[in-house]
Amino acid sequence: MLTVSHLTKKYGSTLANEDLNFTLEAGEIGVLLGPNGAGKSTAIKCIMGLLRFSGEILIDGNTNKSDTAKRIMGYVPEMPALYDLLTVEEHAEFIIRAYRLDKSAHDYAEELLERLELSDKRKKLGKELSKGMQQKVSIMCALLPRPKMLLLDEPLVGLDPHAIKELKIIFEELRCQGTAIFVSTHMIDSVEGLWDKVFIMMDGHIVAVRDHDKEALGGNESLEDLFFSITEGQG
Amino acid sequence: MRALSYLFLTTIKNGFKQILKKPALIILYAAVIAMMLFALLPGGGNKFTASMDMTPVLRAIGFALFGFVAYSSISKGLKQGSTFFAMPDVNFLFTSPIRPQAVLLYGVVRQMGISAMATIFMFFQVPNMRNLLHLNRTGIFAVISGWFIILVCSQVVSLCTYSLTAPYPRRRRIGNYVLYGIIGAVVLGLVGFLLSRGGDMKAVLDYFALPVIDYVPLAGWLNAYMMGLISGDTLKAVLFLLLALFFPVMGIVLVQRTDSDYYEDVLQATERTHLMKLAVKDGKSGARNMNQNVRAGKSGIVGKGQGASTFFYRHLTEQRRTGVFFVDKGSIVVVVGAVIGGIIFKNLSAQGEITPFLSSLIAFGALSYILYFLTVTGKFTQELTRPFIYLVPAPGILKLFYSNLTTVLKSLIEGIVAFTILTVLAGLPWWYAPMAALTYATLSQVYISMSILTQRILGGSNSKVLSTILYLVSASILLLPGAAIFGVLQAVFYFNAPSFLFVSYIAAIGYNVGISTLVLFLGRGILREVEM
Repeated sequence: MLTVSHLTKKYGSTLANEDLNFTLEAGEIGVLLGPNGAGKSTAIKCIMGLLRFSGEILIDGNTNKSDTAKRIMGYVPEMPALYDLLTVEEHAEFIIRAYRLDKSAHDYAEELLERLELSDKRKKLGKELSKGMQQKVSIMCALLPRPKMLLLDEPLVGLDPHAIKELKIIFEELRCQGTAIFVSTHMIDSVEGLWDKVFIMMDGHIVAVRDHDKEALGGNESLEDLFFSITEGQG
Repeated sequence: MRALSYLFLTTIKNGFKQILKKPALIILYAAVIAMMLFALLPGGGNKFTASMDMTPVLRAIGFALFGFVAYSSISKGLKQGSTFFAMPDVNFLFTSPIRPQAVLLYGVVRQMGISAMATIFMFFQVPNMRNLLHLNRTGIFAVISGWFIILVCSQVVSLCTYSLTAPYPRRRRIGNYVLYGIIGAVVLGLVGFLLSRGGDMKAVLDYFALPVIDYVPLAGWLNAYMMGLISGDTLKAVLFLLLALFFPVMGIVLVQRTDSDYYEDVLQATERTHLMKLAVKDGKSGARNMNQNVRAGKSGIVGKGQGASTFFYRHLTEQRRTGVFFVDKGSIVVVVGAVIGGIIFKNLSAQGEITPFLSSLIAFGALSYILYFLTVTGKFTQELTRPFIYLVPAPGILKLFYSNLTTVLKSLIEGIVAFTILTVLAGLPWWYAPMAALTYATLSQVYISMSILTQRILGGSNSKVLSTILYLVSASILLLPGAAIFGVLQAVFYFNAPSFLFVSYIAAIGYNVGISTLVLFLGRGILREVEM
């Protein structure tokens, strides 16, 4: 579903990502772990087509900047920002129109509003919502087009425990439906037990990849142990 | 376009609904509209009495203003990108399957709306346009439409320039050469012209009336459009308008044709603008001064400082990084304003159209007005938005004193430089420089006192309307008595003993120091009461 080949991103002379290569299959949850400044958000933005880069990124066989790819991608940004003067339900309406979704999307929007505890906020304007609420609306907007490839940049920051629990359930459901999910985070414990593949980034490089099925972590080694053994070992 | 038109129309609809929900906002808008209509009404009396032909002045001011708007915007675009998108556009539009061309068009239309709002304040200048510049309706239309078009064109050209040059360092270099080449040519041309014709104001005005100035990209074109309309030369106006519009339209076409991927180009600028907006929303006025080019340089806090005085030394350290000690962009505005004012007063005085007394008053009034804006974005206001001033264990009054000290010293240095320049250029009495500078510096404390008083009364209230009203009330309470004392003494000494006019400044200084110390003392508790 996601193929990243030789992705390199430079800002002037600063190398943010260098020669990243990885794949994520349909129905897999990939976690991108790394310390602050490792280049995780840059990689996510490149995949979403927000940045220029060298290399190739394919989404279900389509180049990531094509309309076909965008139609099947969902994105939860690191910085939630809603339209100040659009209500929660108008955000949903806007997404339905932008992605040309059919009428059933309205029912799905209702379901998502309910699950993310946004029903009573439906008439609230974007500017009237707290940061956590804005994050929930961002998640709703990303899920609404039923993407085949979902990218989330630090999605759990600012969410309350109920929303975190619900989001994890949604992740499991989407995985069963064949959606590829790519999550960037540095909250390791929040994705423990959820991942199929983990990519550990440092200084713009992927320094380790672990496949949950093929290379299950040995013994009692947790994701946290793995992360620190790699990042601190390299440091 | 269905999604984009939905977004556009729903935003407008909800904007109106929001206004209707807030009676205070309705009153405010009604007042603004009433003031605009009042400003549009023909004034009586003196409108055609002035003898001077103001067309050359308008032409020069128009060119300078248009040039400043256009070239500062393009320069910013070349350096760090430019945007007319907001963060939600990045999150929702850029990642959606809507075509980038349609998104760009949406951005341009939205920017035109924002520019139209920024044009509203020009309506308040209509009486001045009528009375000082002797403009009729066509002239007023020419000025206002010229301002609107330059705002839109500058933004579009800035974005397109960045998008077309950012990925290519060579193109960027060429862009810079062209930009600074044009500015350099205009400035060198002016210097050469003044050297050959003599350095008086008439020579400056004659230079900007040269036909070649009309051909300076954007600024010259739109100035020619404006002056064409004013002088009744419609053909010239239309031709130059088309030339000015062709430029940004060509930019958009190039961005689209060359498949230039502009999303990245606007992303950084949009994120930066978003963070600044968030900071301003939280009342962090200092966020407006975010400076990307600041370098840490030498490490360590300047001087020593203990307890409350550490705030002063920390401000000094920040000053060292953002400019030369006590000199920043605001200081440059003040000094340049003083130089321009000094030259104008000198010329008007030579023609017998203004007395030194009036020059001194106008200069002091104008610089005091600028000082207000420099003070409200100053160190003290920024300090209140950070936790440290509340946490440091030191007496409140000392913390207030030290966190204000850089503002006073900065104002004093600015005042000494600016009023000395004015005194020399405009031929004012020798005592004017020190007296006006001290009054200016102490006035900065009164402005700060207005903030303290408002904060002290409001505590942690976040109501912007209420705090604005209270700020105006505190301005009346604190500023008006001083202004009244100063005004009365000026009148008394001017008519009876002009050589003692300086006494009115001493009185104003005394008043400023007294009232600001009193407010500082009464407001020492704000560091306990105010909620961040």
